[in-house]
Amino acid sequence: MDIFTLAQLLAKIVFVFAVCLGVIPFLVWFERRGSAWIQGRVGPNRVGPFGLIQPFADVAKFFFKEFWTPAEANKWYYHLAPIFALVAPMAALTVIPFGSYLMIGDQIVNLQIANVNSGVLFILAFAGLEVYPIIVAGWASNNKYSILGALRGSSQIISYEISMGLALLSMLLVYGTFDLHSMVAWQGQKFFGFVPAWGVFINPIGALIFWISTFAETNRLPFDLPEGDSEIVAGYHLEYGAMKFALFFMAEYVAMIMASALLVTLFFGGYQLLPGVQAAVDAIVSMNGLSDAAAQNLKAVFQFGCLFLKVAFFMVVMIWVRWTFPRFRFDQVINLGWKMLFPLALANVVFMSVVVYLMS
Amino acid sequence: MDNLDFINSVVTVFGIFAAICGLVLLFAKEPLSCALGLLGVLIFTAGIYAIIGEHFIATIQLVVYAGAIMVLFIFSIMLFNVKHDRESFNWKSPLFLFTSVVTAAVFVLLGRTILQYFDTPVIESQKGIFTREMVTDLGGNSQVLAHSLFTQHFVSFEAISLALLIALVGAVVLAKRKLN
Amino acid sequence: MGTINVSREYSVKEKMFLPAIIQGMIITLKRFIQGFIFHKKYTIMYPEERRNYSQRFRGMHFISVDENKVENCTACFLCETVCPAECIHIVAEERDSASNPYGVRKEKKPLSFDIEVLRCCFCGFCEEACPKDAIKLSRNYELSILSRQEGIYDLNHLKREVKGRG
Repeated sequence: MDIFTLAQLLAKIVFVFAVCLGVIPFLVWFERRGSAWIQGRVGPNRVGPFGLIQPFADVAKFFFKEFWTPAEANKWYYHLAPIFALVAPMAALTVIPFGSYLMIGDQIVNLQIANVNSGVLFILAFAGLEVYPIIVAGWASNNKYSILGALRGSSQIISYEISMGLALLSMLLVYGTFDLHSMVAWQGQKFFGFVPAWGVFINPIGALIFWISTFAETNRLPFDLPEGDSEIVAGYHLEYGAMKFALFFMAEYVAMIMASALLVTLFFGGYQLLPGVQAAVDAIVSMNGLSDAAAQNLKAVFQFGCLFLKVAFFMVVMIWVRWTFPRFRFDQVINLGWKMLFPLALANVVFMSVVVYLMS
Repeated sequence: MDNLDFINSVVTVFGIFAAICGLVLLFAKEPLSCALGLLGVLIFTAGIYAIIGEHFIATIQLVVYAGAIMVLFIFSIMLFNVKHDRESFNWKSPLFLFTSVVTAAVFVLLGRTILQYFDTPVIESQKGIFTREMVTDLGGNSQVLAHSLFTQHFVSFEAISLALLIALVGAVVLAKRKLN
Repeated sequence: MGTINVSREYSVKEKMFLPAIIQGMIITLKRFIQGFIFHKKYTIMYPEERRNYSQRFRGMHFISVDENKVENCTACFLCETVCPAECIHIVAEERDSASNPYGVRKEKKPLSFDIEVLRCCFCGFCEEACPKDAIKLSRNYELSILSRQEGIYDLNHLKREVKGRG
């Protein structure tokens, strides 16, 4: 491993995590201001311009709060859970490609932290591990509400992981690869010369199932039963305060970013440029007479911008959905998961395999 | 090659962590602690697989064992509070004594074998038709595995899935009868 | 037994859920645009803006004073008697008759006049009972206090200047 490889790897890690953690305060701000706009309120508007500094004030408050542990809690697992909650979705982010490649000198830098040859499975693995912080936190808190939240969370996540996996399987049939880079490259084709070959146009039902499942996987409303404020107070993180709660809170947003990024990568063209952006890139290149390497770098920057926009769109939709719908009842969640999404996803896999067989 | 040294050291660290988790699994008092110890063993062995380049095995280990089976374990442990089982456990029952002797014997034999072959280089102990270069040429682990599963081992693959289906149906039937 | 099942069969359109979901999303999108672009809000920005309550709002108590800053209260105990929460405690005292400019109009005065506002239910009976229009309830509704001790209004506090009805 030479110095250049190590340096570019470190740079990519820092970049991805900085972007991911850096947008969380603004997401929190948007969650609060956006909900206020929807409900005819004002929202936080005192700290900084438009209340933008409010999340930082919140973090400062979290830091200075008492670091309190319940007496009957299992200390070791109690402290382990929030760390695990943040680590699992962050690890899954490492395989999401955020651009094609950069040319630095004559070296090619792939814009993806870890090029694992079974990238999709890697993400599924870490998505599966997202259950544990919920279970461990709920159990270690030694609180009835927390245990109820943990049970709800684990059964919900297991149920929706199946339909999520099947929706993903139907896309794997189309792409014929586990590698996320090749999937995005596949989506760079065009139908009839102008429609981008995004997964959602090939497999809309799969995209819909996957999208619904991501809501359940990230415990967002209308699937936020593990937290269910009105029934079980705060569910699995009821006994957590100060920075430990903040970690859970951040983990929820990281998981949302991860789920949206995965959705975009699989179904909405990943880092492929949005329609019309290619023309803009070409125009800039021809105007300034850039070399091939510089043109590629410029394109990579625009690709990252497009991925960012797409992910941002799905984050906004997630927040929008949260402030539109009430929470499901628990039997409704399980019925939806097992009696609607699961058979639908299974039928979709069969349908897609027939389609893929006929097309090839 | 210092890369190999790095891999070796990481494998050692992960191995030590896995061993600690295994001890937790054996000696923890809470059933859930045991389950989480097993989870730790699975995660760290997955880490070992990943660091020696077997990404597919590592991810499958995480998806299947850590992500699905252990969740079911823990779920059922939490659902049925199994505290009283520990108290009613009889340390002097002949069955326990018999199994402990047999397990100890197996453990000693296993340890002896491992120590015997500990210094054998990796290359010599490697068997099977695939080398690492061949796998890379054929398009990666997952592709090779899928190919052999769906051509060479097709019948056994289907037979196993059928067996699993029968087990599933059987479990449902047993549970139903109990309810009635 | 005793429960009536009022649920009905869902139609196919309702079972699809998605049309209803999209309908709901459109409604919140409209609200979002109203809030985001047109700044439509129902919030009153409290410390800057205040809600204008009715003229008859019953808030913090005060005792009216005459032009010499002498309280109108003559310690007749009517308010203490009528108070349903028993939160008024008066100790009466006679005015020094030699130096009393009011003569027979204000022979008595309260030595102390305490209202335990934490027990007060703001019914306004004291105000109605008072023959001298001495005790009154102002329109001031900002009653927050930092200690229990501040929850007992003494004569000095009650005699503060209140413009109009505050």
